Amino acid sequence: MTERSVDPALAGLHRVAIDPLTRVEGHGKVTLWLDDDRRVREARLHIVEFRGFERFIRGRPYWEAPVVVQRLCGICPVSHQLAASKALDPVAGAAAAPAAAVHWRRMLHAAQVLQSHALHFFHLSSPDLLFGFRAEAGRRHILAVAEAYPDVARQGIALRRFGQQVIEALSGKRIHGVLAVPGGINAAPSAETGRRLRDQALEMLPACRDAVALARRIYLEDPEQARFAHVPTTFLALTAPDGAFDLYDGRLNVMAADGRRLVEHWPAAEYGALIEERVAPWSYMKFPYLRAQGPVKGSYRVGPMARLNLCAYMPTTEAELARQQWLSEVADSAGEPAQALLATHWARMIELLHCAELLVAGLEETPRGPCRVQDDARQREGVGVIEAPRGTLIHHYQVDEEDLVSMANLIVSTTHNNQAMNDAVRAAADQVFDGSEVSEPLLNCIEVAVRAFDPCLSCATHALGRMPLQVSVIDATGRTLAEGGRGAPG
Amino acid sequence: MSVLVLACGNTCRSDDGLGPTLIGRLQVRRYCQPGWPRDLRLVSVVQWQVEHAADLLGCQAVLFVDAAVRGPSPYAVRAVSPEPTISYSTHALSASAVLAAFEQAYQKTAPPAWLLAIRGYCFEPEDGLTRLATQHLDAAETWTDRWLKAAGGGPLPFALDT
Repeated sequence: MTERSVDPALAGLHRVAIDPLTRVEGHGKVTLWLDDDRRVREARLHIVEFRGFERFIRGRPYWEAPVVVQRLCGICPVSHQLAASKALDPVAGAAAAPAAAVHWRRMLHAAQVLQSHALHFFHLSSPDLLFGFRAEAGRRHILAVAEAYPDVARQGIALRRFGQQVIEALSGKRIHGVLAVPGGINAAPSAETGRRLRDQALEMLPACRDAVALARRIYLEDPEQARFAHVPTTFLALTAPDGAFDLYDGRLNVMAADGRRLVEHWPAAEYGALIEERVAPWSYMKFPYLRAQGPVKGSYRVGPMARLNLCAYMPTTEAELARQQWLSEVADSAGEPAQALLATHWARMIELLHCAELLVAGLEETPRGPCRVQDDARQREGVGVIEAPRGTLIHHYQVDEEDLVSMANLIVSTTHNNQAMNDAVRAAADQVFDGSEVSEPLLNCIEVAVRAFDPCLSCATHALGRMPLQVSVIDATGRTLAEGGRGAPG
Repeated sequence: MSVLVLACGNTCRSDDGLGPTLIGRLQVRRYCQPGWPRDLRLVSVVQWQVEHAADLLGCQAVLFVDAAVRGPSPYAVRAVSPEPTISYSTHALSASAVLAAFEQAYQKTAPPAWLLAIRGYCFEPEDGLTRLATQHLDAAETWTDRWLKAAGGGPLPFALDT
């Protein structure tokens, strides 16, 4: 694996390639560049598979978009369905979706976030968190967790199953169902269905509380977690007009690493004036940045940590108490945002608890009114922004006179976090890599850093402790200094 | 105690939809088919995942159904035992791994289980089964009918020639 970089910025540096890192519903890889002192000077997370949804959705009838774009992801398809429907509501002739539709969209979204967070914490991250980052590779998988911690495994299974059952009841299928359509929803569930699901939600609350307690304990008991892959970042997230935590709707806010509010209540539809995207020749994933700060200083992070930092409060009691505790125990000082990357797992569980509380409160409601409206003047363009499990999700469409999509721009959560993930990989490698030996703990630590973001490439970043990774250390003359890794399966 | 048929597959990928298609056929027959278990659960998913261990709770027997890329035609059947097999991704567990997850999480012995692997030929993003796979599905449905009648006929364990 002898390559010389043509990038002038990397001239004279030694290249270490981890390829493939994992799949991105496909694949990704990591390369590290070391200076002569074996310190990591640059890290790049490459997304090497081309997705193309923004291209092939063009020319399709706009009402197909919420169905098609769900296929972007098998973990959080609901988020894409909702963001696309929100964007196309005005195109369908609904300046705002009716109250009943918004209610059930919110319930669907809460179920989606709950099951996605349960999947990530219990199935993807728990092996590292419970056994340690340097545990034997053969134990870093969910079946080993089930063997050693059966109660944790049962809770994870129950939570994920419950979330998927709500999704199935509301949208017809656990994956790639349909509830939200442009203009509203296709049908509201029966009162009996709502009551049944609400009773199940009540039964899930203890598991959610336990999950928050477990995540907190794991974080506080390990001093290493506070500084692991530590890179102070700017945060971006939606909040409601009064600053409340809101996963479904709101305005964009930005907080600097030192806690200063850089942007407050920015209209989501005007995201283009706030965020610019640049491309790099070595990855199919774009690099969004804040226009005002520029491409070098304008990177930011989205997701649970951003949301908990930026909101003024969470509108459910238990989650808000948990959030206040999280802030006080994670942030370095009062008034500053929490920054520790691995505290994201704890934040994720607080959101899980919040979603369960929302479902308990909302599933039994039966809002009156139409499910769908098309009474307003139809628009030719729409933007839908939502807080998906992994972070802010933006869908932007333009539609021509024949109701066909003429433009689509999607900025998914993982894309927002692209630079932040690259920075975390560099920081993790800097901490654990001494430049000589390519070790199993190194490989897993890099995976841990990426996995904390719960990226859409997590389909592979949690491979049962044995992702196929190949690492080579090559000096400037092309001589291989060290090699190591795990073989790729067939 | 119920009997579970748990199929996995993607109907958008031609013969990968053999499992879900079988479930669809069984759904049509279930209320007018004498001899089948009274408490029969028919579940179709895209992939078997760890949370499907919960679907095994209260089951007296489980039939996993999947399309086979290679192997005997029209189908192959084998008994499945719990085994914590490690694969590349936890998003897609094997039938053995689902059984193992059940035993580890719930501290109970997994119910008797079989795997019905129906031979397919095309797994590209296309609509509908191939002609040959449809014939295999017919044969697999006949076998499944026998399995369900055996499962509904009395206490386990029951033997079933494959």
